[in-house]
Formats: sequence, structure tokens, C-alpha cells
Amino acid sequence: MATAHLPVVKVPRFHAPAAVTRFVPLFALLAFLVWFANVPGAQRSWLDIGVEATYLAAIALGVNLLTGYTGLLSLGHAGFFVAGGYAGAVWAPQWGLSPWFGLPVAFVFGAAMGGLLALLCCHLRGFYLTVVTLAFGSLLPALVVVLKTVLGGPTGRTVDHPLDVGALPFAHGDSYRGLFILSSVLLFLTLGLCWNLVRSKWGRASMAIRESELAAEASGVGTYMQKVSAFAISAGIVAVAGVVAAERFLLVSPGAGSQEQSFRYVVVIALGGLGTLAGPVLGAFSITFGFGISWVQTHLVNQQGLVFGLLGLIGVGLAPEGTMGNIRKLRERRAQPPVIDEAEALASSIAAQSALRTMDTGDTPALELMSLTKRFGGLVALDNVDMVVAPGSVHGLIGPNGSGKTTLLNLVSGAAPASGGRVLIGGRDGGQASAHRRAASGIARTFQNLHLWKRMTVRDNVLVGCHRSLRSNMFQSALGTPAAHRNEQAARAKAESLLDLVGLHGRGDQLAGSLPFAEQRRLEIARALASDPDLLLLDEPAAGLHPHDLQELLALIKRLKLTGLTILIVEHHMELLMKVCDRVSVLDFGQKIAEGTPRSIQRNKAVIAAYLGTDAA
Amino acid sequence: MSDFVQIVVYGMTVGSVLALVALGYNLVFATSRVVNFAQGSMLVVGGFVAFAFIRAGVPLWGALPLATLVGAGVGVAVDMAAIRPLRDFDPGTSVGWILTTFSASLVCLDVVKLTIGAEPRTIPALAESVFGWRGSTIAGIPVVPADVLIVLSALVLMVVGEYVQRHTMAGRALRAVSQDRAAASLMGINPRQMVMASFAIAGALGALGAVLLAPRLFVKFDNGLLLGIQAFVAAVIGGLGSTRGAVLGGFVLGFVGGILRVMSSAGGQYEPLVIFVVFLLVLVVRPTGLLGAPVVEKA
Repeated sequence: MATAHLPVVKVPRFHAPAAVTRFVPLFALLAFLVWFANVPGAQRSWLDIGVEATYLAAIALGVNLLTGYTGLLSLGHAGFFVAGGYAGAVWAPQWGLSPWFGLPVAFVFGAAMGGLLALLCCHLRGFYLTVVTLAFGSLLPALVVVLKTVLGGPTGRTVDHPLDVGALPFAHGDSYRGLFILSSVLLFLTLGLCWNLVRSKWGRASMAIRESELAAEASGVGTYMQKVSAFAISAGIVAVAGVVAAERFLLVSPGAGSQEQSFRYVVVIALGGLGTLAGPVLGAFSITFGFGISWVQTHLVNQQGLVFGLLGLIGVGLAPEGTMGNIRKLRERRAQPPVIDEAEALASSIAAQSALRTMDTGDTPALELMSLTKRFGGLVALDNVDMVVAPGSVHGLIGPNGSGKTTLLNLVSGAAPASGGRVLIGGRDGGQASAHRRAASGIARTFQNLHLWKRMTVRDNVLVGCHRSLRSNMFQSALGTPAAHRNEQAARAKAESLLDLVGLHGRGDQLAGSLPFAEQRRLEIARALASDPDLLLLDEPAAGLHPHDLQELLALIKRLKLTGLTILIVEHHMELLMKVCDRVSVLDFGQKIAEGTPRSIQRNKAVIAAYLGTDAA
Repeated sequence: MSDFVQIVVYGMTVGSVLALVALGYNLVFATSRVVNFAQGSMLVVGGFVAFAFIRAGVPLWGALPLATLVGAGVGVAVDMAAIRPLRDFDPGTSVGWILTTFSASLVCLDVVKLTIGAEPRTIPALAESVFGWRGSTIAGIPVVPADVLIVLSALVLMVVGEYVQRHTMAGRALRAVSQDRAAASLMGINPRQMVMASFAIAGALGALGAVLLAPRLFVKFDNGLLLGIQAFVAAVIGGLGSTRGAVLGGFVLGFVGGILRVMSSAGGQYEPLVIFVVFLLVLVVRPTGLLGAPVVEKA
């Protein structure tokens, strides 16, 4: 409607690093590796350390996908390292495959093993999962005894058909140089894979799980399978590194699969910076080269547990976000928050309304509850509630504390299963679906006590909301295909206009946790809108808002209504309800006691009794 | 019959020590919502420290309390080094504390290795005879006073622990902290002290368990991780946070170990495999354990 107003954007943005500066660390790494391979008179032991540094870096990058980005700590990944060595360097050549095929074979084998373990344990939270991985790590010694012929007992198995790494380009027939080149190339491939993944839909979904699994699920992320895929990819990467290590020693030894080794991977990442790409490489290089120094080798090589333990204690205790995390923090502190011109923000908000599709409101109720019931043990939180929300309407839901409002919202959004009754969404049965499937069938919600992903940027928060409308799959994202790129650009444009719509123009690069409270509220609404919902559930959107912010919220809800969106609001704030709602339902002790226009509800005796007690009537 | 006696003897002795260590996990979890990944290494520290005292000429009955005291001290040190520096953190979402407690366990193990040595050791049984009883043979399986002592002392400790938690001011303070930290500190309880106390007690229990178990499983480094994981699994099987659950879980795993050892001489090798499967089954079927209460997260 007000396209003529579309303002010239003058809001100062965060200093976005140009494409060139972004690649500087990558070129520096490449230059370092090339220099390293050509150090005049380079000794074999020196190149050997280089091989270890590069494959440890690849391992750290892989484990970081799981631990740094998805927030799951595994202390069993060294098991995949050994498994990869067996599969790629021993078994694959045995089956008559070229030893080069060992690399993809190891990746697939490791990923399959990791995926299988994850399928069994990814429903677990936090430390439970870590203990399962610990227990998984202790399986290896037992397996070595049971599968003596396949695994070769405690001493392991020799690599009888090694890779002809000396024949690689630039190796000049030197197998040490060749292995270093192979390991470096694999490191770059891993970096590319991780680079693409963490900047895609996949990476955002992972980070969303790390920050709040509940909110990720409500935004349409299938959290279980996302965790399984993170587990599988990281295990695959570690398994490939296992092949390189096997070629290095010409031996696969089960001893390398101990939990202490797995722990070493995580310490390497933690020192460099969890959830960054440069951190794991930095950590792996400094630790491997640190141990490469001859003094360290002679004095500390038998006290690795002590050294890594102390590094872990000091590193995590003093700098929980690692070296790269601290650098990022410094950079953020120096950047000035953008100055927002309120008039311009409003103008762009109105202009951005076109971001929402205008829906034709048919006759089918947007939401229909049929004798919905929820019991917690003996307590009946919801008792046979029937309710119809007309399409395109704003429907209010009120009731005293403990009357079952949030429970109703949870049942509708799929966050909790109902004990009885049915939920019809747009005329179709919602079934006993999970939150992310409900999100896919057109329901989006906000939370009473904000579940934003605070350590992600404002833009990424909204982009996760686009999760289900982004069609590209994990493999397209990992390879960075043109289709994935196009999808990504479209989603970004949509995210920007949604941010404009809720009045967060120009704030996309800030961390969500750094926004003032009222803006976090509005960001949650933008995130919910990103999934193109037919029905928006707002859980006490006015709670804790300053009167000025309340007016903005009111205006926003009215603007949303114009697009034909159906909205169900749980709220205590009567003024807001009276101004925006078409109908209001009232719950008390889990039962619906009244329903009607806001005016009629205000005068309803039963409602007054529920709020003020019977004597007041 | 002899198999049965062997299973019972092994199950009761190892089970009761697993239960003790599991109680240590519970206690720390109750006060801090943290699982002390260094708990297993207490078994190693306690055993080796007791051995070192005995080697230095301290009689066994003196070495036991000394080792227990050292265990408590190490527990406090773990708290100071691994938990305190992290300050405010949400154990549910951050993983830093897992790393630091595991780090602490590696440091403990290496310090013991450097100062006392890495070879497996033995500690003599606590008593050769009780009231003149020097052991007897039931169905061909020897039962010695040490076996009975292990079970008895573990049971006594559990009963005392339960009594202290339920009927003393300190126990009430501990339960208050475990249920609502903020409210407890408003009542004048210092949650930090409670956390430290729980780490100390957990350390002491681990060290004590190591000395009690030494005649049966030796004092060696492998025990740290293996028994540490087993005790944690015991705590989870019973339901993390439930005292009765920890005891139940400990005995279940003790008997599983006993049965495996009776079935085959190499049965102990299969133990990690079996325990892993049991662990996964429990977590899939009943993640809150047999006696634990389900946790509901509020949206």
C-alpha cells in the first residue's frame, strides 16, 4: 500500500567483512601448508608431524560440527577413527578394491556407524548422551577380544596394501611428502564441507538445537534426525582421518580408540574455539606442533593425560569460548549498535507487509478442538474443551493462572501429546504429531518466556524459521549447489523483509541475545512468521512490555490480521484483547466457561466470578 | 549351587561398592545438576593412595581413613578446579563442565601415575577374621570375612547417609539446594558450600570403595573408567537422584558381572558390551530409571 514511502536505506550496518577478507585465513593456511611441504631440508619427522597436524585438524572440524555447532558432546569419536582405519586401510583393499577407494569406504562406514549409534541415543539430553558415547568407547577393547581375527587382537592389524602416495603430484616419489599432501587436501575438502554446511539451513538448524531444542522443534526443525545427521557426518570425517593415520603408521591399532583420545579431540576444539571454523584448525596445529618440539617430546610425551587435562581445565575455565570465540567477542564489543530511525523503521515495516502472502479465508475453521483433554497424573489440566477458531480472525484465550491456557497451546502446537480428543487444523486431523510436524502443517508459535537462540544472529533466528520452506537438502547444502544457493538467497531476502515488518530493520547482524526485551519479543514473532503459518499462536505476547512497546505490538497484530492470518492469543492484558480480538474464549480449571465477543465476555457473570470470586458478582 | 554362591558373593560385594560410588554421583548431581566425570578416577586415587600409605608402613586400619580423607580432598579440588571457574552456567545446555570434570579426572590419574606408579597393586583384606570366624566354604566357593565386611560397611554407610539426609539440618539444607537453589540461598544456605561438601563426600565414597574392593578387583588404572562408567550406569538404571535407585542399580550390575564371570572364564571381557546394551535399553525404555521421577520441561 505505501510503496511510494519505501525509504532509501541509510541505517549504518555492521561492518560486513568483504568476500576477500573472509578468505584470507584460508589462503594463509594454504600458503603455510605449501611452505611447510617445501621447507629446505625438511626432515621426515617434521613432515610426519605435519601429517598428524592436518588430520587432527580435519578430525577437530568434524567433531566440531557435533560439539560446537549442534551442542552434543561425544567422548567416543576415537572409536570411529579406528573403525575408519580398519574399513578403509585394511578391509577395503582386502575385498579387492583399489586402496584409494578406502577413503570413501571409510567415510561411509564411519557415517553409518555414527548414524546407528545416534539413532539409538539421540533422544537423550546433555550428559546422558555423553555417557553413552563414553560407554561406546569402552566397547572397543571388548570387541578386540571377541572379534580377534577381524580386528587382529590388541596389537591391531598391519596395512598390507598401502596407498601409493608417492605418486601424487608434487610428491616427487617421496611417500612422506605424498602423505602430507594427501592429508592437506583432505583437510581442505573437510573445511569446504564444513564451510558450506554451517552457512546453510543445516548449520542454522544445528545451532538452533544447541541454543534451544524446544524452539528449534517448534520452528519445524526435525531435531532428532538433525542430531543423527550431525553425528553421522562428524563420524564419517573422523573415519577418513583414521585411514590417513593408518597409512602413516602402516598399522591400525585399537589403542587409538580410547576415550582419552576422544577427549583430546574436544580439548583441541575447545582451545581453538567451539562453533567456529578457524578454531579447530588453530587448536590442532598449535597442539600438534607444540608436541612436535623436541623438548616437549622428551619430557612430556608420557604425561599427555596431565597436559591435556590441564589444558582442558585452564582453557574451558578461563576462556569458555576458546581463542576464536574471544576474538569474535572483542570484534562485537567494538562494533557500535546501529542507530534506528523510528519513522523509517515504521515506513519499512508497512512496506514489508507484502512479504506475507495474502490468504483467502475460506469457511473451514483454521483450528477446531473437539473435546480436547489433558491429564497430568490425577490432575485434569484440560477437560473436554471444544473450540472453533474462525479463519482470518484474531481469537483470544483468557483465564486465571493455572486454568490450562498454556497447556492448550502446547497441545495445539504439538509440544505435548493430548490425553484425549482431537485437534483439527484447517479441517485436517493433526493426529498425535510432534512439534516440527505441526509446524509443517502450518502452525507457528511464540513462547511466554522467550525461547530465542541467543548466540545466533537476529537474521539467522528468522532463517531457521524458514527451515521447512527451504527445499535444499543436506547434500545440496554440503556441496553448495546452485539450487541451494538460490534457495538461500530467496530465504535471506524474505528474512530481511520479515525483520522490517516487525520493526527490526537493520538489526540482522546483531546477536539475538543483545536485543532489548521488547525487540526479542518481536523477533520471536518474525521467526514464527517465517514458516508461512496459517495459524499463529502467541503465548502472552504483552507480558512484561512497556506501554509504548505495547502500542507497537497492537499495531503489528492488526497489520498481520489484514493479511488474512489467523491468530490465537493467550493473554492477560485486557486492553490488548479488547482492541484486537474478534472472539474470546475463557478457561477456568481446564474447562471452557464462556465464549463470545470481547464486550460480552467483559459482562459475563461466570467470567467475573472466575476472576474475582463468586461474591463479587 | 556353587555357581549360584559365586554369583551371589560377587554380586553382593561388587554391587555394594558400585552402589556406594553411584551414591557419590547422585549427591553431586543433587547439589549442582552436574555429573562428576572424575568420580571414577576417585576409585584409582583412593586405592593407590591407600597402597602408598601401607607401603610407607601405615597399618591398614590407619591407611583406610587416610585414603578416604585424601579422596575427600581430591573431591574438593575437583570442585575448585572444574566447577567453580565456570561460575554461572546452565548444566542442561552447556557442555563445558563435562570437559572440565573429565579433564580433572585425567589430571588426577596422571598425578597418581607419576607419584605412586602405574603397575597394578594389591591391598590386603581389611580383616582376616571376624570374632574368630576366618571364612568358610559354601558349596566349594570360599567366603571370607572381607566379603562380609564390604557388604556390611556399604550398607551401614547407605543407612547413615539416608538418615543424615532426612533427619539432620545439614541433610535438609542439601535437599533444599537440590530442589531449588535460589530459594535455598534466600533461606541463608550457601549453595556453593553444599556443592563442595557433596564433591568431598563423593570423593570419600569413591576412595573408600576402592579400598574395600581391592582384594577382589585389585588397584589398577583400568578400574577408573570401567567402574566409573558402571557406577554411573547403576545410578541411571535406578534413576539419577534416587538413593534406593542407586543401590538397586549397583546390585543389578554387580549380579550381571557375577553371572558373566560364572558363564565363562573370559566373561569379564564381555562386561562392557553387556553393560552398554543394558544401559541403552534402560535409556530407551525408561530414561528416568527404574525408581526415578519423570522430569517435565515447561514451555
